[in-house]
Amino acid sequence: MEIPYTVESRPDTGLYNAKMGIWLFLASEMMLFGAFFSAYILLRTNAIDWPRGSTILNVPLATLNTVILITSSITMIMSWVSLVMKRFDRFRLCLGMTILLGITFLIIKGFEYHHKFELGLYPKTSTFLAIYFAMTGVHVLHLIGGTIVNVYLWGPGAKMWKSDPQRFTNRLEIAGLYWHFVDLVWLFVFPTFYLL
Amino acid sequence: MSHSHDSHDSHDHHELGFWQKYVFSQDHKVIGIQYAITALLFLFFGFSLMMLMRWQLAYPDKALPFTKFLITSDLYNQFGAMHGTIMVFLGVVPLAVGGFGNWLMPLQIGAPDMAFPKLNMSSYWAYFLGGVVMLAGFFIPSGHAQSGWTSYPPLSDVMALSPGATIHEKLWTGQSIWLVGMIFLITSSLLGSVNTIVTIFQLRAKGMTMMRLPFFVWAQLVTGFLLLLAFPPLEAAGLLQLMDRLLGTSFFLPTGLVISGKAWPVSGGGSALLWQHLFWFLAHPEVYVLILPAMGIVAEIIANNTRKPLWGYRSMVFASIFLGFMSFVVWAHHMFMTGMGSKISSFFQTTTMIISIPSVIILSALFISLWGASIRFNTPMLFALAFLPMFGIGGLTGLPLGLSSADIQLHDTMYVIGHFHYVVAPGTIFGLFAGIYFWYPKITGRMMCEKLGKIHFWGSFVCMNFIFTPMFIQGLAGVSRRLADGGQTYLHAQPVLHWNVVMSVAAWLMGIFQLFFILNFFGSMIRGTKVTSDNPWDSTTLEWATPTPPGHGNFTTPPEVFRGPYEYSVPGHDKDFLPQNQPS
Amino acid sequence: MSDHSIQDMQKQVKVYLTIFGMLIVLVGVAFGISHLDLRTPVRICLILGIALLQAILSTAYFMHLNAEKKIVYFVLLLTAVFLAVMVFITLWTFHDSTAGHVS
Repeated sequence: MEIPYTVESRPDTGLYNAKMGIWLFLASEMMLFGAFFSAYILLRTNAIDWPRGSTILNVPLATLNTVILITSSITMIMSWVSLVMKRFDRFRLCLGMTILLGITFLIIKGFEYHHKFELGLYPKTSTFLAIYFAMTGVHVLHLIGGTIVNVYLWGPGAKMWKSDPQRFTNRLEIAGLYWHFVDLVWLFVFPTFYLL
Repeated sequence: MSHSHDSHDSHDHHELGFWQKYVFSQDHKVIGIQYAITALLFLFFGFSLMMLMRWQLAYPDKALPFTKFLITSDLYNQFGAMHGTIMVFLGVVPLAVGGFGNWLMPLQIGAPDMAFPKLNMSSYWAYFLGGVVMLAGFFIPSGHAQSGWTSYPPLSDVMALSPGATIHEKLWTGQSIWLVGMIFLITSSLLGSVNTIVTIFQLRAKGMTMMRLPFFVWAQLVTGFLLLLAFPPLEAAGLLQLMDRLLGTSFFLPTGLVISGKAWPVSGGGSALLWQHLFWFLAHPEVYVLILPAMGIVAEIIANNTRKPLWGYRSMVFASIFLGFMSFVVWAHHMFMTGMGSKISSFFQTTTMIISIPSVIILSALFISLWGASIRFNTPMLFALAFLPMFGIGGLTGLPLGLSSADIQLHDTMYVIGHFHYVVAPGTIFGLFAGIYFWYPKITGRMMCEKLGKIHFWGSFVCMNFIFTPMFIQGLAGVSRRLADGGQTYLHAQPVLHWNVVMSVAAWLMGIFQLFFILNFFGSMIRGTKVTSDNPWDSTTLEWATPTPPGHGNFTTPPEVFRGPYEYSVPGHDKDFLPQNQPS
Repeated sequence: MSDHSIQDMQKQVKVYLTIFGMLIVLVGVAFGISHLDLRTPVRICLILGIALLQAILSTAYFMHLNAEKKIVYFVLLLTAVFLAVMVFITLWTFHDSTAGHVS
């Protein structure tokens, strides 16, 4: 017996398996980042004073990073649209751009971290920096994970377009949902640390 | 309607090698057995740690018999922390959820496997790696984690650390390794819970509506949601504590911390209570993860051995959903003594009292199911029956702890240890034993020996009560938990100290009775009575409609379900049971 | 599931690009607001409010949450409730405390 509903949707739930799976996973990720935010709120409300992000962090650079990540979200969704429209070449282009934008984000982040270390600003220096490095660090790890998946789908995984195009399109949809979530987390992390 | 060709990796088309069939299997049945065997080994190890601890409690500062080996306070603390960690995270949950859940649930819903077989395999190996990492801690010179399974800071943040050490040295400490191990185990749980939930919603056979699901499956579904949504905060907290230990941050360290007369060189500004909140946000739902699968197993076995439908199936289903939901809003009843104000304490006390209601509903339904029953007293049924009063005692003794005023006297005493062990040991573990005896014939094609089973049961049942009841007595007298000498230096403990010897002897006797189980388990594989049918218990649920043992893909033809899970003794039929997949 | 016609997809793409534009504009607005001299509570409400708006736009349109199935809504609602409980009840615990300042 084959496992049913790997590609077509089950009538009563209206979903295929991986779609339900990714939303459940994202729900758990919401709880994970929510816990970090909870820690942030508690540390900040209990602190005697809390620095303005702009006094320590590089706001313009992070704003650029925010634009980069939002752009990668649109290229990601365009890569899925391309597959739905059966344009494999366009899919490769859009996913490739998503990957490059993601790597750019990482490079800029790496530069930011390095600069902080050069100034002697480490996680242990203050609770602000501690929770900053913790949250952005976990975000970066998630971004790396997403990029690895995207690279796989761009490269060896793309073979599936020949054998099972519908299933491959669904895989892009799932990867897209994850990628949008990573972007979403940044949309909260960025203002929290840099703008408040 | 397109079916993918390689959704099952072409298993149907070629023979798998040894490694893919038995080690890196994607078959839920093999993975379930892997989980179960690994978990049973960890349960044995955790049990052995307890037997060592009980020597120290009964005969403080005396060397182990025939040796010069002394269980020092430090070693006792390590054993204590690791006994709890291993039993909860490496033993009971992997057996109940990874073992029974994986093996049984897809069969009971009529599915060919779990929704994501590769993910299932990864979950097992993440668990295995987490277990290896956890065990590695015992080889660290400065000792394993020794701040309780609860790892409260500031102690856990600083244990075995010297501020000048390198990150490498700080990583190679018991508590740091514990945190790394937990990250593996939590990841395993999260991936597994996604698999469980999707499988139950998406892969039910034709005719298997939600209200025709065996109660065991409902229990696994609720458990899946608890694991999915409650574990991530502990993963976050674990990461933060690891940063405190390795990178010198102060998430959980307050300003002005002084250790051994010297100011601890950190920025401060953190909160030890933050850890407690994040920890207990998981750890309370975790206890329902511990009990729900066992309730599910007991429900199946009671229905089968009473030859009657379960009484109150619907109320049990709604009660378990309500239980799952409420479990997220009671956590700070573990923190009544942390200086919370009266308003917030009242909130948690109220939710805690409310959460006892669904447990009572489930237990009552199971008790009432016995009324007018034609009971078959085989070994699985004995364990299932004993579960009822044992869980009852465990649950009832939880009530004073949930009342913030009574908790003032009882918090952190042996009473707490008695309470939670009653629910987990003669509660959950009895449920798991019942399940092993019950489903053994489906996996192996042989019955376990009834005589050995009954000796195992009665011995364990008597010993359990002698181990855990005196804990209530000691706790009420004010004996604190986690005392390496069992309380002997305290005046108020003197009248109840002798119980330590009673409890220890009972524990060692219980160890001996487990040998009957181990003998039975392995011996019956070779010498057990072969079953004469695929359904030796005359059961109604779908796992018995498969070959023995079930092959790849489980069902020879996709099953169709025509009725509920407990159609026993239906009037007007010759047989006293109607299988779910039998057409009318 | 290939029931998307070319016209439908082209309309969808227009929607995606519009949302993209809105998200970028909102980043600019938040950046601008952060340079104003506002009281901290006002600052927090405005800037996080913008973040919330961006989140709603992204989830509704990029993640197709405006047309998802009931069971997904149910899971997300449950998660939102537990998240709120975790954040706010914990905050309340620190607020209603007999122990004074906790750090």
